[in-house]
Amino acid sequence: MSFLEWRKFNFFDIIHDADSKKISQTIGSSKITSTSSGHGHLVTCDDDGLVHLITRTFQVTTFRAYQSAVLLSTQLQYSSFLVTIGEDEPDTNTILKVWDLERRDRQSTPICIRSTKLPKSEKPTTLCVTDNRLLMAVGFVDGCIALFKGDLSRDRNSKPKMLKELGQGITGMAFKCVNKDQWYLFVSTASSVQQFNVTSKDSCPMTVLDAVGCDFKCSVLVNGPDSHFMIAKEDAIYCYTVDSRGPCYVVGGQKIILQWFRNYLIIVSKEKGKPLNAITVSTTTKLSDEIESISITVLDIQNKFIIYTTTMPDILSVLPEWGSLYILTTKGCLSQLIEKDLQSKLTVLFKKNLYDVAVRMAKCQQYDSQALIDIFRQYGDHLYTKGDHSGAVEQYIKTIGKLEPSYVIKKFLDSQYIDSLTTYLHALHKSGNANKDHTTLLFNCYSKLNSLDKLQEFIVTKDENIDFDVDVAIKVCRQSSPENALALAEKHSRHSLYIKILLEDRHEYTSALEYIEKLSIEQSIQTIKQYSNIFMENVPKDTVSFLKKLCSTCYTTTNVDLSGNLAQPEDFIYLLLDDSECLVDFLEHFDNFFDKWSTSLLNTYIEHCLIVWKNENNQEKRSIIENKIVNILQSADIKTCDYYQVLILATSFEFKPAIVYIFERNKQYSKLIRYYLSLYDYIGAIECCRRYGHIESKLWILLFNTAMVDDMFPPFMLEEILNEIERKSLLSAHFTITSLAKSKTINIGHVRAYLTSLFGAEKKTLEKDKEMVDKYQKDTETLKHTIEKLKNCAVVFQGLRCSACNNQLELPSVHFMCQHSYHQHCFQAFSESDDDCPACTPNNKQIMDIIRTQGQIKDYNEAFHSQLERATDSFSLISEYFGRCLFDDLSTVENQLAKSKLVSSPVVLSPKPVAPVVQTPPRLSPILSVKTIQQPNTNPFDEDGEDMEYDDNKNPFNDEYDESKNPFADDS
Amino acid sequence: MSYAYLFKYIIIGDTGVGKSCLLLQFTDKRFQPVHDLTIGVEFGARLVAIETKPIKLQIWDTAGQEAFRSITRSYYRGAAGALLVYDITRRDTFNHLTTWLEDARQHSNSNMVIMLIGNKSDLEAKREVKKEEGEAFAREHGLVFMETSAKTSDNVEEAFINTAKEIYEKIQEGVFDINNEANGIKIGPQHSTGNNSIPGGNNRSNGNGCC
Repeated sequence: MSFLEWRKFNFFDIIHDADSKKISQTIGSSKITSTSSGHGHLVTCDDDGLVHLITRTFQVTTFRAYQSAVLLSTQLQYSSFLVTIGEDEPDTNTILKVWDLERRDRQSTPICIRSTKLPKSEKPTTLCVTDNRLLMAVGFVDGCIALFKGDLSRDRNSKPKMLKELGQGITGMAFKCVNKDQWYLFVSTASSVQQFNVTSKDSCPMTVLDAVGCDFKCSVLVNGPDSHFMIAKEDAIYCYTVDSRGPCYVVGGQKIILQWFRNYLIIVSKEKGKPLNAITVSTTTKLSDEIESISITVLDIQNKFIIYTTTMPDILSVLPEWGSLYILTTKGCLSQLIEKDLQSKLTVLFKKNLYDVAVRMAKCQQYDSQALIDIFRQYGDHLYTKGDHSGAVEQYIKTIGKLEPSYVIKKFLDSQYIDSLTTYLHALHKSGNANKDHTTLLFNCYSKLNSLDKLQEFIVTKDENIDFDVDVAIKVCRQSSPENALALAEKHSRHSLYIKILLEDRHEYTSALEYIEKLSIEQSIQTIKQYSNIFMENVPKDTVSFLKKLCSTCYTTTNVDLSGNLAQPEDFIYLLLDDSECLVDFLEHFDNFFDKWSTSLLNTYIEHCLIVWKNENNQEKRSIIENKIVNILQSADIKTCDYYQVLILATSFEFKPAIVYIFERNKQYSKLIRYYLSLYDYIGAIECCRRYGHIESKLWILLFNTAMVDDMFPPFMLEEILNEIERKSLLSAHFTITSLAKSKTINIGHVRAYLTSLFGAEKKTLEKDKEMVDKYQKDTETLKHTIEKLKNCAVVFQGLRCSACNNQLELPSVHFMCQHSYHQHCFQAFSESDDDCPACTPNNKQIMDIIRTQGQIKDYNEAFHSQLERATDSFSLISEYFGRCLFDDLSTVENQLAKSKLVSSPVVLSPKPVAPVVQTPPRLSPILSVKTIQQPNTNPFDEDGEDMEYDDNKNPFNDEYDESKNPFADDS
Repeated sequence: MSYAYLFKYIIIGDTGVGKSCLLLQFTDKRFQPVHDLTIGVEFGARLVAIETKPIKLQIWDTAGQEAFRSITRSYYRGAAGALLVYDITRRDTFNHLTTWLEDARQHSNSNMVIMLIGNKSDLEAKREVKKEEGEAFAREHGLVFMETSAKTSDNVEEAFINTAKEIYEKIQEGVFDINNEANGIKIGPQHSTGNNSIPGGNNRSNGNGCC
């Protein structure tokens, strides 16, 4: 009765006679004793000792395993080994054989790779082998279990270990592996369930799990991580874990076979009777009924429903293989149970509106997500039409990410569903699939629901993966609850919005400033720039102090790369343009960083300093500002300071110190003086002249000119100017005096000293010149006289000594008109040419050179002209050229040259006419030998010699040089 | 998954009072509004910490229907604690408590800790059994009482943990013979080998140590 409590479906299709009766034909009349399946075979063994292997296409291979009968068989699931127990003769010890089905002999009979006689003569009832082929257990009818360890295909000689006798025939066994290396053997008898730990080699401790037992074939091990050993009792299926009882499922009926297939439990049971006479069954009728009413039931344990049930005349075994179930009857009829595909199963479930079941099942079978979403949507639609909106939303939420949200939103747009809609939207955001409109909608929902707390919660928890368009959220929040908007903005670093809300909605300017202060530099710069106007309008002082802080941090940060983004004070200047004092104050905050200031910044600063200066009435403060500006100008870098700009500023503000400084700095002294003069600051001007007159002497002239024109010019300065002009000969005296004369203001008294000195000097010059003229005239006279004498009078050569060696002149001797006489050999030795007097040659040569050069120069007309242009005193230049005979005829010059030659031409006297032999030959040593003479007394040139009376009068060269006679003397 | 102790629980009470939901809420922390009838006995486990000791709770959730009574009774025996559940919106489930209690006392060991649970406390509007009544019943029979809601998970955790605490205290007092597995208490593998302070530590009779 409780059977009926589980939901029933039909998820299997049955195919009768799947093998086209091939198996029954093969088996014939013999009785099937054991069946098994695995590794692509169904295995049936009969009491004739034959084993039949059935392939998928129902090709049957038969081989003889035993002479008498096969009792038990187990085909390993994943290897080709088949283990059988059978007897060759009745009532002897049974033999265990291991066959390798993949190795065949010539008759294509599988090879028996192991044959072991079992140690007991009792009948074996159960056989159990692990898939790794290392453990094998055989249960006997008397309750003994023989445990074989080691590779079952090789270890032929290992003795089985006999486990504790249970006193009752073993009905079921199963190996279970826990944690990869712990092996347990579940054993069931007719009245107990126990477990042996067969991990260790020596002892196999037993734990009794329950005092109920089961029949043959009525136990199964469920594979899987949380697997159970299940036994079937008449009232229920009981499950056991390795250490205790597990759940139990109430399924009535006398169970014959328990089998596990995929996730399903297959129960073959005898119905207690036909439903019609179920109440009044007697023992006899029951027996007769049994034959026709054996039912097979497939249970989905996980989902708790019966997925197939049918009745059959008889069932020998149920074998899972090739992805479906095969039901074998005692007569060898094979039926196949094919599980329906998931889609048709789901269709069945949908028809019954069992969407939750469908989902569970689909998930179980790893259905693809798109299809699952589809189920959720159908489920949601179903619930929606049923009016269960919250339930529907729950399903729709599961579709988020795949299903278009508008599909769902559309359904819930009615205001009565707003709760559901909110839930959906919330989930939508949580999953990160929401767009702007969804956010807006959600926030509107919250505000419509008046659930500000929820909104707040949403905002607060949003950092946990809830993704939404923050800007939209803030926008919506702003309308309903500015606090939330603020919190949002702060959390998501929407600083600009945060400030905007603070300023526009709440007018909390100071707190906004404080907020900005907390931001990073870049952010704060950006924000403050955006809202600076508002700040300035409302909290100017705070703003200024904030800006100070901000900008100074920028200056102090050393990172140059960021400079582009940094807050430069000039970025904020425009805010303060109206308030110069503020601006000056602001900029002065950074006066430690002048070197980093930009030109425009500096200019602005100076400009506003000037404005402040202009407006300031207090003299002291004015001077402070003055000093400040000058200091800045002096300290500022050349690079950053645009002096011309400053000059313009200073000029427009008539700020003298700066102008003066800049002019001085730029060396524009004339401008400076003009500036001074324009201000009638004559002292300053003259001071400037004094200072820079040595660099630029024109300054004095400038000043002088001004003095001439300017009526106001204080005359007492004139003297200095004039002196300076005179000293440096800046202007000709003539010009100066003319200018002075023209001046209307200057009296003679002012310039008397100057004039006196000027004229005095002129007079002296004049006198000097006169003297010179006289002297030159005298010289000329003398020269003319000499020439005359040379031309007309006889010349007496009186020279007694050779002009070269200074010895007594001997013949032969050479005499020159210049009164020089030589020994001939001396002359030959000294003279370069025969015509020239060696003593006079250098002198004459010089003169000749000069004359020659003059002759050359006169060709250079151009040179003359250029010189004339350049010359300060052109007159003297022209006269010089006259002096060089520039304008004489060429022939005259040559004549002159010839004459001069005549003058120096030698007169060679032969020894005869003039032969006064006065001196002894040894005294005729040449000059060069003088140095070799050791005795000083013999030195003819030794003037101190006692024996030598030098007659000064006799020295022809003794005459004092007559300057006046030198025609070239004037031109030294 | 090592634990100091393993406590076996059983949840009993009339059908439909929310036994399975309590278990589901405790083990999976979820609520299933539509739940199939429990056929037989279901099973759940969770690790909790009592006084920093990890304790594994193994819970059998029994079917409430009279028809299954014979099967569920067999599960009483190995339980150290029982949650006796009634539905505060259904008076009859409260009225049946005595029967359940008698049944439990009869088939379980005498030391079993029984906690009385008034479930569905979220449905205050439909309440039929006052909280005071529950308290009175618990006082009268020496039970611990608590109202829970499997739907909102209100007090669910506490119900299981308080029971575990009580069992733990009883162990400390020596009331439970922890060596007898029939009491529903097992010493964890790590605990038994490492801790000698447990009285009678060499209880490993038949190789239950490897679980």
